[in-house]
Amino acid sequence: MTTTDESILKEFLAEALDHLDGIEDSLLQIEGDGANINEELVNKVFRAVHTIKGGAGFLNLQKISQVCHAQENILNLVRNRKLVPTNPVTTTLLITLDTIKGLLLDISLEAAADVSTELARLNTILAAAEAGMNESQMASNSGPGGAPAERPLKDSVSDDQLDSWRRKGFWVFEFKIDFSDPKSYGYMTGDSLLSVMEKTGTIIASSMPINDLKVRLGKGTFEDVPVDLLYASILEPDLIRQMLRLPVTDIHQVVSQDSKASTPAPAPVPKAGMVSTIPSPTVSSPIVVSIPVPPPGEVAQHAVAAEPADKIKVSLSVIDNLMSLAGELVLARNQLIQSVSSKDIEAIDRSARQLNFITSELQMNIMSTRMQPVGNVFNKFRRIVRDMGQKLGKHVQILISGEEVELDKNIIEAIGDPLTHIVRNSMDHGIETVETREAIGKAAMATIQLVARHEAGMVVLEVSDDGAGIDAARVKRKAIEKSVVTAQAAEMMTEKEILNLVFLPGFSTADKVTDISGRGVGMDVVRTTFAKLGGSVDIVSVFGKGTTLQIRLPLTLAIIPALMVKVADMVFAVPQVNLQELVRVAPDQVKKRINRVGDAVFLRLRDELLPLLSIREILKVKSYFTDPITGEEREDKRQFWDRRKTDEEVSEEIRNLRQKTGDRRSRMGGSVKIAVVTTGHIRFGIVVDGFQDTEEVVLKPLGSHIKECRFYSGATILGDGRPALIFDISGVAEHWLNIATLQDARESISSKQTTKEDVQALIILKGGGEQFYAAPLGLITRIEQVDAKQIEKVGGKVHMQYRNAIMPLYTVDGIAKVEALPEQDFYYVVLFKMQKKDVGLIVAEIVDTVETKAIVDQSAYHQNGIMGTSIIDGRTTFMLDLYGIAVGQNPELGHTPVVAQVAGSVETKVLVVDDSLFFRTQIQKFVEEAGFKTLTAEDGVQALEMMKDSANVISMLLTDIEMPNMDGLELTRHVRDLPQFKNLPILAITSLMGSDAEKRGLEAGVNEYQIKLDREKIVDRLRFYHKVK
Amino acid sequence: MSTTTEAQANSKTVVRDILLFNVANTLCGIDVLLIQEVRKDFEITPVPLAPDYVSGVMNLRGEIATVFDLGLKLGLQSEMDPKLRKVIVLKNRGGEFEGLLVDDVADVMQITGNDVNSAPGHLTSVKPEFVEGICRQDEDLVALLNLHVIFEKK
Repeated sequence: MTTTDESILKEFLAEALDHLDGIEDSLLQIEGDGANINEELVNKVFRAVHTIKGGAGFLNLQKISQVCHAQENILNLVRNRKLVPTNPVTTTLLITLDTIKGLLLDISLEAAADVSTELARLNTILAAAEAGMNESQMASNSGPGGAPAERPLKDSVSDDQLDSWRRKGFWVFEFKIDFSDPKSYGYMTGDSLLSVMEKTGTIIASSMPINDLKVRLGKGTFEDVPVDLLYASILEPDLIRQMLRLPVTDIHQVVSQDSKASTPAPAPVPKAGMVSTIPSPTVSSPIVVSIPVPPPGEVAQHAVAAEPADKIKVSLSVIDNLMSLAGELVLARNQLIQSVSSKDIEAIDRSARQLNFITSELQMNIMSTRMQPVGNVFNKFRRIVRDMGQKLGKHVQILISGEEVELDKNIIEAIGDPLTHIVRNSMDHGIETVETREAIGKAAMATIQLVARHEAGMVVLEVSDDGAGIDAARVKRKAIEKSVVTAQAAEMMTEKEILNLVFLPGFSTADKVTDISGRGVGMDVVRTTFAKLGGSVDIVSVFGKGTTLQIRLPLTLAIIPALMVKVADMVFAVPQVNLQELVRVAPDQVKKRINRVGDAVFLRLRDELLPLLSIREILKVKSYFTDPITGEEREDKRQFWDRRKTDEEVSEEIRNLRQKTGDRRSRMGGSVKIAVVTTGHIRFGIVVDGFQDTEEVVLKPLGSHIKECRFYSGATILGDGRPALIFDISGVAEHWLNIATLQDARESISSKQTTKEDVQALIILKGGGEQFYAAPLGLITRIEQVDAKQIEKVGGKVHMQYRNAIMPLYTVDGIAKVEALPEQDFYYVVLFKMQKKDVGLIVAEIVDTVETKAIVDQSAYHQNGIMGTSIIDGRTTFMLDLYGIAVGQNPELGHTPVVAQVAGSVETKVLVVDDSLFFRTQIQKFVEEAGFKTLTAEDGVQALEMMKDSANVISMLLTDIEMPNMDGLELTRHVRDLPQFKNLPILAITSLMGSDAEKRGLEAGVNEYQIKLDREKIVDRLRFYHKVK
Repeated sequence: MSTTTEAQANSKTVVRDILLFNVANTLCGIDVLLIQEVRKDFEITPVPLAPDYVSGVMNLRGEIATVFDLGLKLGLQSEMDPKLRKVIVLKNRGGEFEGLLVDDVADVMQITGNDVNSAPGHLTSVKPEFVEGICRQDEDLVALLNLHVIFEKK
């Protein structure tokens, strides 16, 4: 094969595979539409198949061409509404498409491949459909049918003329048509039949002059005489037959004697004799399917593994952008060179800024060429779910959202397999059989949801099902049986940790091995795959309710956002994907909040005991300090960094001395800085000396000698040219956290733990005029300190550039009557999400975070953007309504299109239960704004009564946990005892997030936990449950 | 077939350029063809927890190079002030950049295969398995290092 041929072949393969991907989705949709054909869609599939056939024919790939041809026939019937695309029809089409795909992926097999089974399958369908069709046609059309007529017409045209038609790629036919009875062909008038013929081909000769025929047809004075026609068309015989709906016996292909010249395309048509009757597909005896139906997942995997060419499609606009950026870059460089030579500092500063801007633009543009929508992967699952559902006899629908979220090509290619594994697991083990589901009162149709979204600079993928969930007790039993953990250790694990055991190698809870899953390999591979991509995976499951796997992935492999931290004089990077929050423990809190048990150290973080690792300790970095008395450098010999004396314990004298000498112990004041990180599997804190900026760092690989220590995933180069190492958080956890001792230690500490109250975590901010504000901490995604110059004002709207995008900014005084912000060089921007996008609130200062009972007085100061006032730490503090502030200054944010849909739907009510009037009204307000009707109750007792009284209208329950008389957990248990509420969606809303609280809630029967006042999330989930119902 | 013998014959007569350098008062040499560059201004970022013979990493024009303390790896103790040392940069078989921290770079000398003697263990203080051969430069003995063996991972 010549190189040209090869490159043509490659192009063809890439294009054909592209087409196939599209076809699959469309076919599933066509199947879904049933008899209600969407012609546009069928045409699309038809065209795609036709294109593949054309290309295959051109490249002499006969097998592919044959199969495509047979598929075209069926599609044509579907298009003409002669065949309803029922499940068997689409299944056959899909399977035969798989065959084509297989052949395309390994084109060398094409010539030797045996496609007779595929052809037979397709032809059976065709024959069956035709048989039905022809019968009815024959019945009504007995007149003109019958034996082929003489061929006087053919003689009127010279062989040369016919040959010239054929050479141009036409097929020549001869047939008789009875224009007086168009209905027998399925046409309304003879006119329309003629016009179809003229559109699809050319009438070469006719037993009656065409014009004459037209006139007569127009007048409606047509004698009952069939007309003989000689007709040329580029459509193949079977297609013509179907299109003109002529009985098989009535249409004849006119083939020249020189059979080589006769057929324009290498399509499999018999070529013997002058005129051959086109063989109608014979109805063969029922075909036993001998090709093994490939498990759908394997097809997908195969497809991902064997992309034919290492190419990506980039839109021209991106290239244009890159070109213009390159131009700007050159310009900026020239400016810089000029300003450097003239030593104009201001000009240098300007050029540097310009360069900075162009570089980020360039980076973004170049990255975008590698980005692909996650839908490319997600959409494959429609087929997988459909096929598996059929195979397993389960009714499963798949809901996909966020297909437009983009990830690096490499990541997109790598996540197919693990996601397939997860979905298969859900289908096989997660989702119950229809009978079981019905028996326990679940909807027979199960749901698998695939979601992709952006979160904190990462992409989160979620695969959730509403199946049986994972039985933690069984996982525990199995884990002990297989000695994955010891019985004692297992006893002390939280439910979440137990669930995470499924990610360990060799672990499978499936009682029997099926051909789909349960071989005991898999989930560990799933986890490793995601870990390799710099991501993490987490599992949440409620026994009886369903399972959710949450996968966090970086947008790209090459550049990752990371927090730079300082340890001694070294700078390290902590990947953002692992980072959850930063905690600073004030010196006087160290003793109270940090506990040491044996070798393990814990931080009390809200209601959780978080294991801590000191990077200094692990890295064995020696620390030095200046002796306050002698002034000499001495090695710090303190063994326990957490044994910090509080200020009161240190004598006044020493304290003064330390402050004077600038001793480290007074400077770092003993405040402990902790980055809370997660591997998805385990959460822990790393203790560092200081936090620096977050940066987008370029990941560089490390040499093989360093890789072995499993502590770093790579290195990057800092702005000053020095390398900085990037922590490999899962490596750190694996090698330095001793799970067993942690469990012991946790047990010993948790027994001393105090009970908690219904407190709200708030962040205290300062605005203009020394006014203090408070906002729920749970809603805030980030805090940035920004230079006042970075804040831009355009068209009366304030915004700043943030992570290469424009982020709208708001102020409290922009909506509420409070004092304006003071003039400052630096401001703080508190980031939160509106419609999944980052927006920011500008404040003068960040004061503190507090956990308080938050008794809010709504009577005074209640205005737009401010919910009310509260006394926090002795100060009157305005409680901010972040959403109100954002919507007030940008009304578009308040209106989501979904609102209207929900509002117009079935009348159901959401019961909101909270003892605090403040929270109750707030929640009620935003739930109603989202289009739901609400009922409210003050406590569990009242709520339960209401549930019993108006059982029919309550469709969802939103309840607080901590309440007098009857708390949310007890309420949930009571509600679940009522038969009609077994499947009622119950959302616990709490200000306390923590695995313990969550566990108790889930055990009581709550569907999920959400943070109070996280309006978007709560509404989102309400809509989700609403939709599922 | 004959290529091997030819190669052997060639190796006897072909002239090789050897870079000589000092590590802890021991004169060593490696083929210049292996060397990318020699750097004297560099900054090494230590890598805690890495093997002890890894001094750290350095920024080599945007790539990360691993820097090895050659002396430590050879079992020699250098007393040289780290600031005065030099780094010989190589590209290993895997395409990674590696730096060898040495005390001083001396000279380039030309040798042929005939000049190289197999290494008698006692001639230098370097472990015999790390030495490909010994050759002479004036009064001194040069240990030709076998880098593949030295940086082989167990």
